[in-house]
Amino acid sequence: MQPMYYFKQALDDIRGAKVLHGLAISTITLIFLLTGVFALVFINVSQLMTAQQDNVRMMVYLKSGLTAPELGPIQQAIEKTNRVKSAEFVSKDQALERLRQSMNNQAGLLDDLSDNPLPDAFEVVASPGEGGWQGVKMTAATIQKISGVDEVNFGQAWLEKFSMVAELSRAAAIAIGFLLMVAALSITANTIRLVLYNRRDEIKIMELVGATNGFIRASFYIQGMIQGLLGGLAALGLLALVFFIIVAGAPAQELLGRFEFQFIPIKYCILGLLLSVGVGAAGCHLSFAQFTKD
Amino acid sequence: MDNQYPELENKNAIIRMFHVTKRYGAQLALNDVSLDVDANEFLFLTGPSGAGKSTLLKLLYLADTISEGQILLKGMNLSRLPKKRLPFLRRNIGVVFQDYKLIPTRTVFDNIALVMEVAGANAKQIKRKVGYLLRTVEMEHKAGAFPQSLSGGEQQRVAVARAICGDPDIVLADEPTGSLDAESARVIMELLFGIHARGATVMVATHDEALLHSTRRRIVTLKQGSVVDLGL
Repeated sequence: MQPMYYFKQALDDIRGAKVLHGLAISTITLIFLLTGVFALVFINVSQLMTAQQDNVRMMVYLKSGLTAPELGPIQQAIEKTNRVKSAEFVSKDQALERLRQSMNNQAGLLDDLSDNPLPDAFEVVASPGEGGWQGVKMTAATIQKISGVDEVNFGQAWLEKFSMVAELSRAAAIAIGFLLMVAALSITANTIRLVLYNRRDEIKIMELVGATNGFIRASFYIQGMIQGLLGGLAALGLLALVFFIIVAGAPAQELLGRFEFQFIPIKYCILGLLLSVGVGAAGCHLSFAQFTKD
Repeated sequence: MDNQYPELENKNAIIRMFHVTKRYGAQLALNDVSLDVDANEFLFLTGPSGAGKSTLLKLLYLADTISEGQILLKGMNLSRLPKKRLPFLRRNIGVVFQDYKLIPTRTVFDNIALVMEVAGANAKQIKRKVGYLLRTVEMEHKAGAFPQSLSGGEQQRVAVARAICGDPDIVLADEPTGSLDAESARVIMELLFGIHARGATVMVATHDEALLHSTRRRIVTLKQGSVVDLGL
């Protein structure tokens, strides 16, 4: 084994066909950039979901006509319920005041009310933990059974839809990522194949002087891996640039308030780079299979 | 008791061909050729164009396979040789091609060094050996040049240096002086005689009558794919 020889040969080949390799690296960059964008979207959607799930807020509306001494046992029963972190009483007057504040300029509409239509309630914070949405549902159902509770609302319809969208986006990201990898593989394979045909006389000479298959192939595999690595690195660099300048900047933060956008975790960045190197090597393998067949 | 197969007895032979036939489609390139070449023999292979000289050499340097018959190289039957072993057998054979077959993208030094790189030699060994060979073929001053900048004679000298770089037991030269002027041809032949003097078996295919008769060596003559004179 002569790693330095193979490496030098691979670099010489890349230098000898700069345009061809440059085009291939640019295309791989584009493909990995697209894959990176999907990964970024998926990671942040998942993050948003997790943030939502960490502290689920439920409104537990009470039946009308309950007296103050009856509220204590209800609060205790709610607080004892599995996954409940806290339960804070919100009287109907407090609820009306909150509504008034949230209506801003239109708060005057409430002045015409002769009676406060809002019920007393408990604002409950639950932590679903491992159980996920099923756990939240079970907690809500348990609270619903407590005597004096009229209705439990935790925006389940919206959250379930959100959860479904997140699942779909995950499946789409995997499928699109797979297709993009196939495209990257095909591009690397075609580039190496062109180099192989360009050097077929040289390969023949190498065979005649006693080169083994491994000797002939090694530098081509390195070329493929260098292509993949450079494409992967360029894509990662561009993605980081776009992310830190635009996405994580002020406009996006204004849009989602306290939510902090996350870049792709370092272990996945490394995994992506390894994947790009693997795609380069696999592309080379495919082109050799075709070349040998021809 | 007499040996039933006297033709099988030749312990000195490094190359043995038994009833070798080579066809390209319907065309018969070699027809029932049997030939023994002894170790450290210098032999000319001659015949008119199309006689089968290059085909015979191609079979010996394993660039092609036979249609019928058997070839033994250093005692190894080429028909039964596993594909994996081919590169290692080829390292025992140095080839000088009529069209040089130098790699245009590599320098003179790198073209010669290729043989040693393939065999796994280290950089120090390569530098020493290639340097010696460049001095031998008087091309030291052109070590960094690329083949296209060299004359035909210079390219052939590089090709000879490459052929002997791995210290092969057998050197096959296909019309090595075919496209060279008289002086370049003389230099090339001197190099080949030198290789032979150091112990290699050399087989030179040529139809150059002057070259054939300039030295007293065995001459095997082919005509239309068949051996018409073994030169014994």
